[in-house]
Amino acid sequence: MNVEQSLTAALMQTPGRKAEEEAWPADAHLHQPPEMSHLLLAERSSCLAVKTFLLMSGLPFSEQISENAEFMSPGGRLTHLPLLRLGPIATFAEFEPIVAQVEAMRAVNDWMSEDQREDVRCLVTYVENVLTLAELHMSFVDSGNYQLYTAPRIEAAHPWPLGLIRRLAKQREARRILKVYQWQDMDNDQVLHEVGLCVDALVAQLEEHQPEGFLCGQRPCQLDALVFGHMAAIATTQLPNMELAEILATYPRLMAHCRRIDERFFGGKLLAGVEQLELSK
Amino acid sequence: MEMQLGAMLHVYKGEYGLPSIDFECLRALCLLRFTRCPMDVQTSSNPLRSGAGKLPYLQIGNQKFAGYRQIKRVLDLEGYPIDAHLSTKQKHLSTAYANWVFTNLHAYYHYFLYGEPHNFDTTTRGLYAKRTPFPFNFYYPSSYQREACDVVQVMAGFDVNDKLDKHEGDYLVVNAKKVVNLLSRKLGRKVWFFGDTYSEFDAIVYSYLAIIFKIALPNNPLQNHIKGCQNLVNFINRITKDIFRNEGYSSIKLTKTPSGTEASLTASERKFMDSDLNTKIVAGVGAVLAMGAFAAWRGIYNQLTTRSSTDYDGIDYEDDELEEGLD
Repeated sequence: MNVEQSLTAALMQTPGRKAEEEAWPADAHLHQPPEMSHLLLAERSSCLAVKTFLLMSGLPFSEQISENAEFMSPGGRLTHLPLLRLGPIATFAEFEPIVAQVEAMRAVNDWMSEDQREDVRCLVTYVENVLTLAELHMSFVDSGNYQLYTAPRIEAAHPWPLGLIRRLAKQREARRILKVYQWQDMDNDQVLHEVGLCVDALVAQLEEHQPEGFLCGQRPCQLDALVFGHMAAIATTQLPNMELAEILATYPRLMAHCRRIDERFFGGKLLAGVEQLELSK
Repeated sequence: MEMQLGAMLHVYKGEYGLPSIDFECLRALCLLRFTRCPMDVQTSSNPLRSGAGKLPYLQIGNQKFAGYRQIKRVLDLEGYPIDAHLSTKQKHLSTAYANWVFTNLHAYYHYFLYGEPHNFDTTTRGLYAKRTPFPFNFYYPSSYQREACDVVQVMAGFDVNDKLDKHEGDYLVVNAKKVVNLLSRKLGRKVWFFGDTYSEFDAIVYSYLAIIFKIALPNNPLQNHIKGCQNLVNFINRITKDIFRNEGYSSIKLTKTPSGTEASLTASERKFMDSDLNTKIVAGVGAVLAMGAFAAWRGIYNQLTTRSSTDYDGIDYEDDELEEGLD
């Protein structure tokens, strides 16, 4: 279904951009493991954010499900996923490098001033760090989530002895990331406090641009894509401990914003189940 | 306020005129001095006592708060929040920019201070070792190296323990230069990044750039780049001189004045003088080990243990042998 959408998005593009379009290769593939069975919370957020960003920029791409996407990835700071392959050689992984590459090839944010662009870039880094680390913390350090959600999911992706090895390796990796970003000693409340601070900043940003409708002005930008990716993934992933989703649900304004993006780019399918969830509470 | 009376912040002593040589310590000191929190600073302390194996830590009575995050939380609760004078929007921006600078400079700082083998062996290890009491100075500097290994692996994607030509330091340098350019443009001619009031963002920028700018490393490509941004240099020097007037420390000035003879020594001689104590310790430990090994070989320990028991066979046998030899 998304291929169709991306095709329509490509067809809808204005002819004035034809000259630049040549830089974007015809075979752009987005690689990610199967979303429903393999992806963990943080990886799912990242994949969703990249997909939203590419749809927003109206760039054609085809989604490819590859179970080994993680091992194809050229690296990255946090999740190493998803992987964008442009043409035969060039590969980019994770949200920020992909956005930087798209910005270099296409003038996607030329309607913003230089100052604004810097603010957005730094907010993107901040939001990505805080939300991804919170997701990693929730899925690897919170023992309920780890034992009932993360561990079985990683182990199910591989046959027996390999599954165990991968689980331990991924856990070690996640703990190492948390340690590097100095989050290793935090408990759930402190994590939620950090998330709260980050979301406060986003709400303030949204209020500042209230009349225009998006986080940075009248058009959607990478920050919208990133926030939507994380919020949608957190809200729709069923974890044993839903504290993270609960704290995000207390920001109705931001949720409404995400729902608008969902309507516009995904036909309202992604967040359709969330309303029922909120109503049932 | 009452709790502050016995409070003490433990940090590494400074060098090159800076109040501390360590990024985390400098960041904690900035919190303290920017907010004018009346708290004592202890510069000769043992990382072992912090409970986390690292400085800085804050001691209030018997309670210890190790690491920047915990110290900041304590100061916030005590009524010295660093972002108090900012507007709400500036507060958000300050946090976001601080995080952004951390993401972009942390790997550079760790790679060039601890990860690059030549830099670490010639300069950084010595700096930390001199500030740690005796038996621990062999251990704690290396713990920073191990930590840098993790940081570089996660944030820059290569392994410090690999061969030197596999280190992708160029990417770090380019990234760091971009950050410095942007910071220089952001600062402009202002006193602080947000105009007239300090913020956490100022603290983190100062802590990274002051150390990278002042430290004398054999390989430090960002140093010259910072020198090119005059407003950042002024920013660093102004904070060092005005706010850390009393804490700034430099060992070179102190040693130059009393000893005129030392200046006439060659570099290798001075190195020998420096390494004197280490040589003695190594020689002493070596001698004790050698004597112990010799004693073990001659069976002294066996004699000691067998003498306490009732079995005299071993000793009689040896005596007999000795007499036979004399005959």
